[in-house]
Amino acid sequence: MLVWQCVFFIGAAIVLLLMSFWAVRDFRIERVYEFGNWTDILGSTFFWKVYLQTMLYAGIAAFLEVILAFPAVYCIAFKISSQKRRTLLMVLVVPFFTSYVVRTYAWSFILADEGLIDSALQFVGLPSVPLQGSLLAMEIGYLTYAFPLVALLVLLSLMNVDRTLIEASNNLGAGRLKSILHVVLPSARIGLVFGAAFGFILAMGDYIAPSTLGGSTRLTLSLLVIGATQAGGDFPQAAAIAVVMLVTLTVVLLLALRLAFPVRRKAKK
Amino acid sequence: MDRVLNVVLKSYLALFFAFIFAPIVVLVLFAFNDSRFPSLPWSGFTLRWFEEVLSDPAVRDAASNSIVVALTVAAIATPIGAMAAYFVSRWDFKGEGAYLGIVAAPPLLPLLVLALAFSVFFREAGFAASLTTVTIAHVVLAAPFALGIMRMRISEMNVDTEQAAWNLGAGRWRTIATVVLPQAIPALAAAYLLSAAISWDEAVIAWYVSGMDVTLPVHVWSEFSAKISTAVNAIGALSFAASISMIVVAEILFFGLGKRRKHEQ
Amino acid sequence: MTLNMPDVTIALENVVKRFGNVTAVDGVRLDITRGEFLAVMGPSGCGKTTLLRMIAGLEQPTSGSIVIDGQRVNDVKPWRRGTPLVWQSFALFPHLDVAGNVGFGLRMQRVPKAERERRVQKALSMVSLDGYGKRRIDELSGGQMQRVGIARATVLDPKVLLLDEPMGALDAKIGRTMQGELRRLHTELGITFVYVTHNQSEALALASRIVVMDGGQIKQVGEPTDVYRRPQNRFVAEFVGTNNVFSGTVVRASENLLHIDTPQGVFTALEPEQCHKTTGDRVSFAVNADRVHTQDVGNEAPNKAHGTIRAIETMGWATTVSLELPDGYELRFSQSEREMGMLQHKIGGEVGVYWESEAAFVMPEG
Repeated sequence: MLVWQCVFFIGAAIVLLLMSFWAVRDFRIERVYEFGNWTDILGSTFFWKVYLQTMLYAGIAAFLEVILAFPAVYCIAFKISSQKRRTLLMVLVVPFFTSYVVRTYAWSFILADEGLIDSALQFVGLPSVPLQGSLLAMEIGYLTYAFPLVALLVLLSLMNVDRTLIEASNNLGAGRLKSILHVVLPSARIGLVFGAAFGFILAMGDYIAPSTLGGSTRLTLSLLVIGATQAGGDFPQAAAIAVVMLVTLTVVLLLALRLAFPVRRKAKK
Repeated sequence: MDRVLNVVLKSYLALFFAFIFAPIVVLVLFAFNDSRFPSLPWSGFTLRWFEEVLSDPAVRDAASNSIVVALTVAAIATPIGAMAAYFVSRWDFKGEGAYLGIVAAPPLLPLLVLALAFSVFFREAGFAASLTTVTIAHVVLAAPFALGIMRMRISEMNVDTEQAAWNLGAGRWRTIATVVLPQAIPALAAAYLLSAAISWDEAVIAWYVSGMDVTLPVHVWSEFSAKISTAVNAIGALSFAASISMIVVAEILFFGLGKRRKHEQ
Repeated sequence: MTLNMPDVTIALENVVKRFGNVTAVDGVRLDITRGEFLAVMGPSGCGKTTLLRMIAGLEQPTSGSIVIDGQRVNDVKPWRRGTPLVWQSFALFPHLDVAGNVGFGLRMQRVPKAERERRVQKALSMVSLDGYGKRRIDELSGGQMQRVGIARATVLDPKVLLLDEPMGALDAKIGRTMQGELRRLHTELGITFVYVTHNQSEALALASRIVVMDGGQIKQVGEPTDVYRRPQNRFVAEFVGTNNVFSGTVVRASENLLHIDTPQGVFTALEPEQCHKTTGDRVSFAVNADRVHTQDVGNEAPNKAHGTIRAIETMGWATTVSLELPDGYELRFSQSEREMGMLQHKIGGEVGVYWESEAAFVMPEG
């Protein structure tokens, strides 16, 4: 397996990196190694604007995913019996393995002007709310993409929380909410951190939600990448942007690792 | 207070599930709507959209391409994932972390980055974009899942049974054939189905890496991303049906119906 | 020295096994005789299982040789050694039925089907599992599973049968029944059994010879009575049976009797033949708890002690009493229920005990 992955995966990654240095001249790609693309990108305020916007959207997505998933996952971890839990999880996982494109399309018709929600509202006599192309729609897209994964990560952590700690906390006088804040959350920190990290990474890299649900007007890095390859076949530039995404991804993961597994200082004698 | 909290939490959980399943349920439901535009008001129940898409040659071609690719991807990803899983589970070696990191990384990366990388790689390596390139790329993506499933299954198997087989005269390969494989068959089938489902669903990489022949999700995306119509609902419903049945069967195979056999330990 | 050289079937020559910087087996030298029932006994981690696995080829010695029937087998793969193992975890193949499990080794040897079935039937009969051939493994009880494991090994007509704590996963009662079966099997088959256990009573009941191990080393090899009554060193004394171990200096040596001055008093003890201690030597000796008796008034015995009862443990048929002697030494003696009944012992009460010199054995290795 290593052979396959190395050849096709690592190979592809290397080519991507190399390509970011190549140039496009007269609609042809030349294999020269220069920093043209990089200076173009990193020096462009437009790029940075899009970058930050992407970060913002992804950040919102990650935040929403964790916050919204937490009560549901808490319920699964603590309030449901083991047998039911397994069935529940088996059900939860199913949508994850259906086509994301089709699910996004489904949301688009739910949220569209004259779409499901709209006509339902009209039916009841309420004014229609323009959801299509809104930030909310895009975030819903991100959520659809990442929810199952984030939920699973947080769930795993919660299931590993030591129940006796919670009992001890209750025993010492902390009410339910306080116990959650002070005992459960810290113990589940690993799952929460990685849930947020992967929620962020998935959102940052996603193309389908911004284009289909976001109306392509809110620019994200992913739209830039596709735009570059579509318009002029400018793969080198697209490659450079992709590399920027990878670097960001790595930084986020390292941060997550740091947050989840802090290096403890040795106690001073 | 406790009971109120329970009720609140469980209702929230129901809402959560509803949100996740909403697109699927609604899409399928409205694929039967007798109106060109999948929306309210409901015009009546009809199967004509299914008839329409099933007779569309473009859809048929794309669907059969998807099937062929998915089956091939699964046929490659499952054995390589399973072999890697056996290797990692039964041998301790230095650099195991790095090995797993490289081998299992693809699903963690943004699909778009992967898509772009594959696209340029194949271009530079001289492979023409085609279903073959899609297959190769999908194997990279799906194999880690096969690996994960088989790792779980192998770790449940009592390692003593393999050593007992050696002890009784079976060499390494005969042991794998006569002791490991038979115990692993349901899991292998589950891994196969899972890999196939992943390939069947995958749009972004396929879009970037395929040439003239497209897979179904790509077809849906490129033809209909702007237009909303009940016909597309029908295609989507069919796609869901395929994915869901594959996953449910895989789950049943892997987890078994009812209690797990305890005697294996 | 016996004139007949014993027929050695397995020889371990200076076998050492290291895992990283942990030495599991530390220079073991052992000759296993054909047809004997050898028990290898010791606490967890003493290396006994590792030793067994090395004989089977499932572990490779770091140094030293394993010789089976005169041939060095270090480099022979486990599937070619012909040393079937009975596993503590049974290790039955869940996807095969009972007959499939038992016949597995024969299948690997490509024995034709008819003969295979015949031999499987015979092996199942020997373990009293006639007719169980078609049963599924998950339908079996622990005892039945273990018998399938035994049948699976014996069906191969091996020269040696290796058993790795076969009773470890069974209830005590089933274990005791199985003991009788194993003894019968050994007699019927007439092959060498190498039996690893941490359970003394099993080893003492079954074996013709016992190897006591600790920390990767052999501490004593001998017949059960030897190991039980004549421990060679403190470890064996403390591991096998219930012994009281005393240490002191020899004040007088006569014939094979030593007079030893210990903090608990001056006692006499038997000296083993090879041992020649003289006045001034430091020695240790062991007294079995069941050789210590409560004193009747007026009894003239050479070894006496007096102390306060600190604990009384009953095992049903016998009771072990812990006495605290004046200097804090804990002396233990065992009595049958009848003896106990005759004398009323209470915690805190005072009791005098005695033992014969013959009951005290000087340990050559201290």
